[in-house]
Amino acid sequence: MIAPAGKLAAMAVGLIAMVLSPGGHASDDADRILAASCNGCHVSAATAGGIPSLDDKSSTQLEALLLAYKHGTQQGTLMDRIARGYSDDELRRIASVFGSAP
Amino acid sequence: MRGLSRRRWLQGSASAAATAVALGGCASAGSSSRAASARVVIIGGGIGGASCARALLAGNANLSVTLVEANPTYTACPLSNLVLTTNRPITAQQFGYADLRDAGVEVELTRATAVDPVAHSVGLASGKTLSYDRLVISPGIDLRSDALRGYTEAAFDKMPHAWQAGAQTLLLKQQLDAMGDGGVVVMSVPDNPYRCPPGPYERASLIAHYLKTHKPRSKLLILDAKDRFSKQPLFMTAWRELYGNLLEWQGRSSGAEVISVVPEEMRLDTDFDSVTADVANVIPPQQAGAIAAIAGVADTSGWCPIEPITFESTLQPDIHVIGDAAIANAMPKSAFAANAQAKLCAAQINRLLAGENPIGTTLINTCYSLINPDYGISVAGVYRPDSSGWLEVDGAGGASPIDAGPEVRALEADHARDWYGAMTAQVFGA
Repeated sequence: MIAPAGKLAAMAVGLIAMVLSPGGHASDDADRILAASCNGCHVSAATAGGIPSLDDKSSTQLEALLLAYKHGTQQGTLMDRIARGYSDDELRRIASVFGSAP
Repeated sequence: MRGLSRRRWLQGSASAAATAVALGGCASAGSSSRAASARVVIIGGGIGGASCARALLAGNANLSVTLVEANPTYTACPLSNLVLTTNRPITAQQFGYADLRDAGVEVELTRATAVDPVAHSVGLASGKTLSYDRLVISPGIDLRSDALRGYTEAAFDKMPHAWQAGAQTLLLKQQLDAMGDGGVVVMSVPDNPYRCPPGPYERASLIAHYLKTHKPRSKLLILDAKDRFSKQPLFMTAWRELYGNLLEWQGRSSGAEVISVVPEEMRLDTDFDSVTADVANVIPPQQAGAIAAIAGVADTSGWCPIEPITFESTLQPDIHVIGDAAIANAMPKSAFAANAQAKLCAAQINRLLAGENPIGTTLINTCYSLINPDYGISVAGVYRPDSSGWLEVDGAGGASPIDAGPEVRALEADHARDWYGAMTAQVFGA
């Protein structure tokens, strides 16, 4: 594998550790479990082909983006189709797991 | 496991707990030594098993996690159709287990040959026996050699399935490369369920692209045991547009289901007809990897029924089944799904070991397919469990727009490669 992939790997591992790391109360655990599918595609750095990073944005920005995908005001190749499967509150909870700050 | 009430405290100071263990646990109370002794064994080092191992340790650094895998090198299926039809090297599909070892996973590179659900132990071909508190079985698929007359293991070399990436992929590639211009390639596609629902059609697309580029007088015939398939309108529209008469698909209602093969004659038989191929790619019916039946977690279908939220087997306690082998209902048998299921299963196992209730949640699947190297399409689904299984959420998911322009197709082709890079980096750290 080429060097950038190694760097990507280190960051990806960091991200999964962050998403699944323990501590806190049950609702935090539920939020992390809810958000765990996301890094099937999204890793810490944006990819060369344009899959964006989730942790260079605030939770508020992420929530707004997810809601925009869901309600059709933001176009995406795929995220619109996925966001429609979640309630607004679930999207807020997912954003809270990934966002760098409120 | 019981008595892990202090688990959260231990996890909150994982480095302190690890130090205590390193010093022989002498300074700690009983709970920490019990936490350290909780043992999860995972059979199968593909996307599902390797993801689960990493996620288990990410959730509880004190856990003992052992991954059992017979092959020291994992060869990933996603994008392997590019190996088959372009100059993408097979090494781009291959990953080892060093990074998982560095992450604290014990890796046993040997075959699991026995599971005793009562004694909670796994027997290995190396002679070793592993005991577990929870066992995760993620064995992927086995090709059934009894389901298609004539397609025994001896036929795999003559008519490769290439449905487990590796030597079979290279063999089929070699056969395609050796075929002269004007040859006939025949694919046999099984009925559901099988690994990677859109996979045969991506393969057909990329073989057609290869033929159009290098051997344009050739023909690809797809004999399908069903009439409907994943992303069908997208595939068929693109086929007409790009490949015309070079590619012909026949479905079940045209009598196209292959019922037997004669490898010596390179012949495939349907109910009404026989075709002779220059290259034959037979994707046979499948079932859960053999260890599932050995462990008693597979039912008469050959696949493994599970409790949806925890992926715990309904047939054997304390054994979880994830990935292609599991019956996850509306969720397809895909690498993305295996990864998502693995992370959920790991979180639930950590909760169960701590005496906590599992948590219901929502899972995603995303599958990209390539029509040619610069033309990508996708299908996504969002899934929620109820008591009967994993159901697709209405109004969400679905395939790429049928009328998207070339920029969107090119972007999705990039995303397909990026998804693969992100996924494999996350799982194997390679």
